[in-house]
Amino acid sequence: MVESITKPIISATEPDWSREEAGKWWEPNCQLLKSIRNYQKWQQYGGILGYFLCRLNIIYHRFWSVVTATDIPLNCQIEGGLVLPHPNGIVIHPSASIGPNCLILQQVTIVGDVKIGGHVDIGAGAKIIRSVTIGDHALIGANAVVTCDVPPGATAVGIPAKIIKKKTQEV
Amino acid sequence: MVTEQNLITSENQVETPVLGLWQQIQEDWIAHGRDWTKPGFRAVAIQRFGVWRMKVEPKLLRAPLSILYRSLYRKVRNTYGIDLPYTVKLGRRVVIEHESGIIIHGHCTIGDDCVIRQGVTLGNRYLDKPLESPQLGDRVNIGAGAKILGKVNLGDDVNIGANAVVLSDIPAGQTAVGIPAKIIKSRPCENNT
Repeated sequence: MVESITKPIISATEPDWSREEAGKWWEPNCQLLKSIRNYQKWQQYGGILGYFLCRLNIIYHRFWSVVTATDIPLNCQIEGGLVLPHPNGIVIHPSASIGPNCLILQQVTIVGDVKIGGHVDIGAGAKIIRSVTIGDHALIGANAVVTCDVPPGATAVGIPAKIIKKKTQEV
Repeated sequence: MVTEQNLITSENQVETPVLGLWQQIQEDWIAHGRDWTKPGFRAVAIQRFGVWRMKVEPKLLRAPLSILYRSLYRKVRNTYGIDLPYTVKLGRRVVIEHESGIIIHGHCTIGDDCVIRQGVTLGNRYLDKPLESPQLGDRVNIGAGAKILGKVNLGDDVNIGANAVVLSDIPAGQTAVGIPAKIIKSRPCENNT
């Protein structure tokens, strides 16, 4: 409980949209996510208005992809509250599903059919190269190559990734 | 007549046929999934152009092409983060997947049908030997984030795992993973990105 006072526990189910908001205009990571969110929103809306706003967001997405040098497709399955502090070189497959409030650092690769739970922190240069499941509140170390499932709250590091300890879950 | 020609071509297949610039770029375009907007295709096409413009003998004719090549090369390097100089001996149908952080040493040799992914570095190992660089065979498959350093020979059909650091020679048909890279029992390649 002491930890919960100093460090707020981030929810693994409720998306915290304030994590994605751009403070100023030139924040390529926030603008890229905004273009993806708007595209998916207007595609669901449909109609002529939705069609044209979709096209507009495709142009925004193309521009911010080039600026950030990432490869996050428009039809990705990412829930709210994703944070990309340094978006250089992130590659995410469209069929990979990512839960709310995740944090992804630079040079991370995620292939298809990966299921990532809520509030997962993925370190710089980590590669998830098999279709595995990663539980809530897990941590992936820098430059890890994940080829097996990671249980909730665990920490995986190394090549190939091994689970080193269980984080004690606080309620 | 046809069979005779086939025989001749099959015998001469060891020698690489001389292709024009347009044919080479067309092959790369097909290898990159017929998408000219892909950063990897643009980088490879500009490298082909850079090799081709060195064949132009008169220096006055070559000068505008060189200026064009250098501006395109810098554009690809700065916007996509793919550093592929024209001095690389690039094979046919080389695929560069994705973008960002792909650094290739100028004295490298890359064989046909290689796949190079994001974050791959092919470079020298020691600062006092700057010209020693990796030599890749045909159909080498390099995983994301792998680093190949120094005078390393990779045989044909080699697979390099993601985030591996290769410092020693790998014989043909093997798979190497880890830091430093060790050869593991090769498995049939399954969704290796």
